[in-house]
Amino acid sequence: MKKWSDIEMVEAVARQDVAMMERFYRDSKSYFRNHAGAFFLHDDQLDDIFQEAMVHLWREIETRRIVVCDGVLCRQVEGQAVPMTSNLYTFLLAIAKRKHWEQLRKDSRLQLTDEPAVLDALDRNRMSDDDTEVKELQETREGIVADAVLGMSDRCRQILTLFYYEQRTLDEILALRSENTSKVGLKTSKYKCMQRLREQVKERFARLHLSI
Amino acid sequence: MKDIYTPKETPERLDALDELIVQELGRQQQLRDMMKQWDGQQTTEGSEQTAICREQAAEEKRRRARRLRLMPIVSNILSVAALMTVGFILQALIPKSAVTTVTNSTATDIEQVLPTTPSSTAVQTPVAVPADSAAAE
Repeated sequence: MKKWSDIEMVEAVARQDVAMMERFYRDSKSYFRNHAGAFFLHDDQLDDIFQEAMVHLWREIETRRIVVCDGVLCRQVEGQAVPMTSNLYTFLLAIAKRKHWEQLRKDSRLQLTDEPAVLDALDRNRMSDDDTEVKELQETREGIVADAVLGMSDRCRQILTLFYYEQRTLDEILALRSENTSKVGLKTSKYKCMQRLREQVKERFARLHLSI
Repeated sequence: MKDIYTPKETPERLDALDELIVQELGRQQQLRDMMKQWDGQQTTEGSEQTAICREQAAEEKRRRARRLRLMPIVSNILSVAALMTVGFILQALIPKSAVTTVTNSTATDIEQVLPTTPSSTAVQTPVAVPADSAAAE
């Protein structure tokens, strides 16, 4: 049974309370497992989708796009703090549905002829009015960068994380990833992934007249 | 924003924007690692719980085996004790007067068969007189 309020959880995440974050993670996972089955085609992807949705939600809180204002949860919408109409669980589910929908859309060219059911799933998962809370809204530099990195493909995220976060050499990354067959190809992929991110961030900064 | 993640030194030079991107990459990966760790802990706890249950089950099995071995011995002791108890109860239940009456009637029967009063039933036993004394008279 949930023993915390959404406001308590947002405040805990904002102050990096790891114990509370863990509790939220476990409770959310149960909720997700119980309710997500109706929305997602592939059960084996549920854990991955859930984790990505959690990362997204936490970064929204940490970059202050979800805040507590006047005793209620608010989200930054076009420069204004608008009270949220859903709770954190529903919001998390909406993020997960969207990620799943994007993944299906990416794969749809392969599946259109083989699995007509995919099209039905795309229709079912079309963003409803409830999902409007998940619109991309960036008010801060960190928020813009977070969105750009969250929107990266898994391939790019893996390469850049291995190189910049784990500080692996290109040779080590090549050994870990069977998808890349040459060091030159890997280096090119890394450069393109990073370049795409830079361009996205710069474009959004420019739109909002933010400087780097 | 609190600097939660500090990027480690990387071989290539990063400009300010790259630093922001790398910092964000690091933070997101930290969160993923944290979740994996929590899942891993849950698995470990689950394994420990399973081991505890197995140990308890084994202990219960040993206790049951011990009980089975002792059962015949205990059963025999109880049977003997039960029989002795029944004997004592029966002894307690039979009245003492019934025992005495039986004893007296037995004695009367014996008297009828073998009279015991010495005066009436004395048997005179001839005394043997020596021959010399009888002749002298």
